[in-house]
Amino acid sequence: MLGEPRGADGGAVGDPRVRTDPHATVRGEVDAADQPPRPCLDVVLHRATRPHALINSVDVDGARSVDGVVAVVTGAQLYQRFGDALMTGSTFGQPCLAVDKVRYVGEPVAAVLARGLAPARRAAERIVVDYVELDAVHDMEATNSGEPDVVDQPHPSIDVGEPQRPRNGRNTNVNYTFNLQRGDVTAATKFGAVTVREEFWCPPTYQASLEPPFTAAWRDGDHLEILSATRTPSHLRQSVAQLLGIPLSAVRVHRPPVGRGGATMHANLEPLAAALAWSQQLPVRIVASPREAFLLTTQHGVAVAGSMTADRQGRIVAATADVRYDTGAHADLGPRLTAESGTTATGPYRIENVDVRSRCMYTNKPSAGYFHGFGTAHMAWSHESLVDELARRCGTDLVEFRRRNLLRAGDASPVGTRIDSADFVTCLDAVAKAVAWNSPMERVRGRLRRGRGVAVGATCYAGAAVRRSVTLTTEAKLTTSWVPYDAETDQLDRVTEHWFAGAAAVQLTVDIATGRIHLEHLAVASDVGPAINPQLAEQQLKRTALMGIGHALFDQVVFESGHVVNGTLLDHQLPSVLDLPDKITPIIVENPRRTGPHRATGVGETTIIPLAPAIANAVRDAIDIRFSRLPLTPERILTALAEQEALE
Amino acid sequence: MKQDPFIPVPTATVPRASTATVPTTPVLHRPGTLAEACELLADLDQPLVYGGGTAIQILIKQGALFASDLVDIARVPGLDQVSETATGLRVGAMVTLRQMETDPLVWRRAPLAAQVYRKVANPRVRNTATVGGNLAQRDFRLDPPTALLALDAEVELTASNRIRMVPIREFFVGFQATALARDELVTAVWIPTQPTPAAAFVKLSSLSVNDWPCASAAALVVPVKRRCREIRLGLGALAARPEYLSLELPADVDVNDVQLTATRAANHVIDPIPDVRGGVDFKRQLGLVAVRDAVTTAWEMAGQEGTDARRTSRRRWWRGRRSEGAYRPARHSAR
Repeated sequence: MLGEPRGADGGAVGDPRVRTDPHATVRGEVDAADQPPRPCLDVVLHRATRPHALINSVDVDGARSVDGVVAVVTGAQLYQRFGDALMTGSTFGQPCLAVDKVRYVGEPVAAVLARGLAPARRAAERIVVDYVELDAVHDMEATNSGEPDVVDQPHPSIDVGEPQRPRNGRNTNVNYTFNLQRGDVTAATKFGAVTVREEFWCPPTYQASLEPPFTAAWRDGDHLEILSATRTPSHLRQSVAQLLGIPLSAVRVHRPPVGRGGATMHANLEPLAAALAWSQQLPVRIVASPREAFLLTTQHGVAVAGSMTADRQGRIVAATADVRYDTGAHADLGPRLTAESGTTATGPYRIENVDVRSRCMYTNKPSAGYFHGFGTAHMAWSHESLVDELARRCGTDLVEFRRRNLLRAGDASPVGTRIDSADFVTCLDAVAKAVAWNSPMERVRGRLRRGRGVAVGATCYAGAAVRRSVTLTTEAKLTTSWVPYDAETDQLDRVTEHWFAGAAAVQLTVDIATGRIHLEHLAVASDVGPAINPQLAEQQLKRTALMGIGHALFDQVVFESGHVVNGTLLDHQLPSVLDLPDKITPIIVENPRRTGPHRATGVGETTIIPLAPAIANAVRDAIDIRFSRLPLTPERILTALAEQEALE
Repeated sequence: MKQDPFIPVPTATVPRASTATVPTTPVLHRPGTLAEACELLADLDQPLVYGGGTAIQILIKQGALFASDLVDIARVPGLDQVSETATGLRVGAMVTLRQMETDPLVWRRAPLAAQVYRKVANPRVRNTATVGGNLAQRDFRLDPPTALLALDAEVELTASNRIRMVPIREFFVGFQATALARDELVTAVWIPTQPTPAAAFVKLSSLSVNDWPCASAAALVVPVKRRCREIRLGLGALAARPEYLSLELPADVDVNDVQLTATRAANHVIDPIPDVRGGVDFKRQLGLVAVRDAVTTAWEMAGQEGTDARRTSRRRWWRGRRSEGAYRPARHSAR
């Protein structure tokens, strides 16, 4: 699929090149993030031990008396200093230190600034907080019936505008809803030949960045300087300028080469470091311990109740998705994920009748952030499982059924946008061919059951459009004549031009005695436009697929009454080299875009999106059981096998 | 900018170098003799013996373990030797897991032990972790105890005024608890020569492949009297501590009956701790699979060595080991 000859102009685009930095990175020769250019005070945070409670008092006397402590700062003090600006760090307002209420176990309540980490830690332990406990909302099931409010006074945000608030005389923990309606789903479902329905669940997972979250901040006259491994330095700069009430030009963000990239946009460490450095006029640094890192953010837990209907010709005629994002106690990127993934909730298929409701909900947990795919991997878990089941019910080959229904260039997606050139069909065909989809295989050997599965993934970036449209829904805060989404149906003919297409196919075995899944061959394909550096593009496809293996098979952050149960890398597992498939085939599909540098588009995320459903579809093929909840742990497999046996 | 009334502005805006003024990390001691090490253990407030440090480092960082002092015994001479004794092996406490995996002497005298040490964690850990530290870690999921239980090893414990031998079958006394007294350290493990090659080890995990096991079983089949065999089973991760059981069966019993008898017996001993890696029922089920697989392999190996064929089979077994490359790491075995 590597297409036309390139480099005729003498340029490097299209030449496979080896990365230049990895050797220095693994040898530790790269400047690490935690090396601020000047001596800094160490900041250690005292964190909440209750999931939901009013703060009666914070006793910091014991902490102040520790030798080496320079200052102890509480949320109330910062609020007194910065007022409501303290709440602007995140969408709808997340204070960097809890002011009068804690909303999750681990929320920072007070900060100790000391000369050295050891006295700072000892002092933080001596802080005593008197709480008045409140009922807590532990999961989204509880957010429907008269539960307490997690956030009683949300603040409007520069990103998304006003959160949704009291409706029908009752408060709600839903902070944002995206609706997408097209055609007549009820009628189409009624007249369709086959309908499948299922409720799906993706648990929260930990993003596990390369190094622990770190930030340093110091004041230089009227300027504030921040060192942070953030992936969104511009956004950080805006947030901090707004928080401190200083011009944008007075904030400078330094970014080291090694980062914690795909975690969150508003990890509240940076605003806190900025507020402390500014108000105390002291250079500070905050290093989150590996345990604390689990409290900063997770990937969202997402529930999807979906359905799909096909007619007698095997065309998908209707699809629904009721999506709920568990965003934790502060809506950070949740609303944006909710909207953007809502546009792909029924998959990259030509469907005339679509009904999507995507909601973002507060619970008393750490604020959830994003991960590769920006929420679309959760959607793929639903639509790729449903379409697989639908194809089986229709008695059609699983690849052929998808091919028949996939969006092609020029088709309108359910959200109304026409697809430019994201090539889903070629990606699908490529991975199917790679695993020899139609060739016979030995299905049973001893206690092993073999199966194959396939899935496609789509993501699109609707960033600016969604932000503006949402803002418009709030009493026209922005004055513009351009209304992106239709007010009733949330339809839009140009959500984005940037669609990304990917596909995965897998051959695996399931050990019916131990429940363990072993991946024999994994093929992943992504339409990247022309590959700027094919070698890196292939590595990117592989690497993302490996992360996806963890999500599919065992990654999850487990909460019990608001407490993280497995908040260490010993108990929250990541894939190791032993979890790799026997064979991985990365496939670059090159379909030039209409726009963009060298007509290229993004690469990497697209292979994590279809990964879990491809594996689950192969498990369905192997043992005839459909799984709707991730991860596919041996325990889940054995339990399902026992239930299957009991039924027979 | 206006001054905050509630925050005193310090005179010096740049603080002194950010080194800790008061240490909270344990004090490191590096004694040069065993007597010195024992004295430190007897005198210090809350000391921990530092072997390879692979577990201690992580547990201290996580706050799961506290120590006022670390007594690093790397400089104590003689603790890193594997030596042959009249009845088997004496393995010093500071012998690394990697040495156990690669030393031909261990493969010759106690191949089951070598096989199990080879399965611990990953090469980085095995290069550093030590035989003594591994036992003292006292985790109920450890791999090596399963083999040591089946082999009937003994643990040599040393204090400033005494040395005693504790059978490994009495060493683990409960959850995270061993027979090790406060002033003692593990100085060696004595492993009797493995009486027969008929042995197997099975380890099953539930999260990533290389995770701590959810269930592990080491099985050793030993002829006890005429036409009778003993199955010795060491179990890991299946109860609050490593467990041992033994059963005797006639040598001509069908392997299916052996499986049934062994899993039934093991089922009484298995008492799993539920956690993020799985519930009680799941772990029990995995445990029974591990027992069945280990016993089957070991019993079938024993089956090959009937009374007459014993010698031939032994020779065949040795050849097999060689051709499988079991001696591949021999060049590492300088010591």
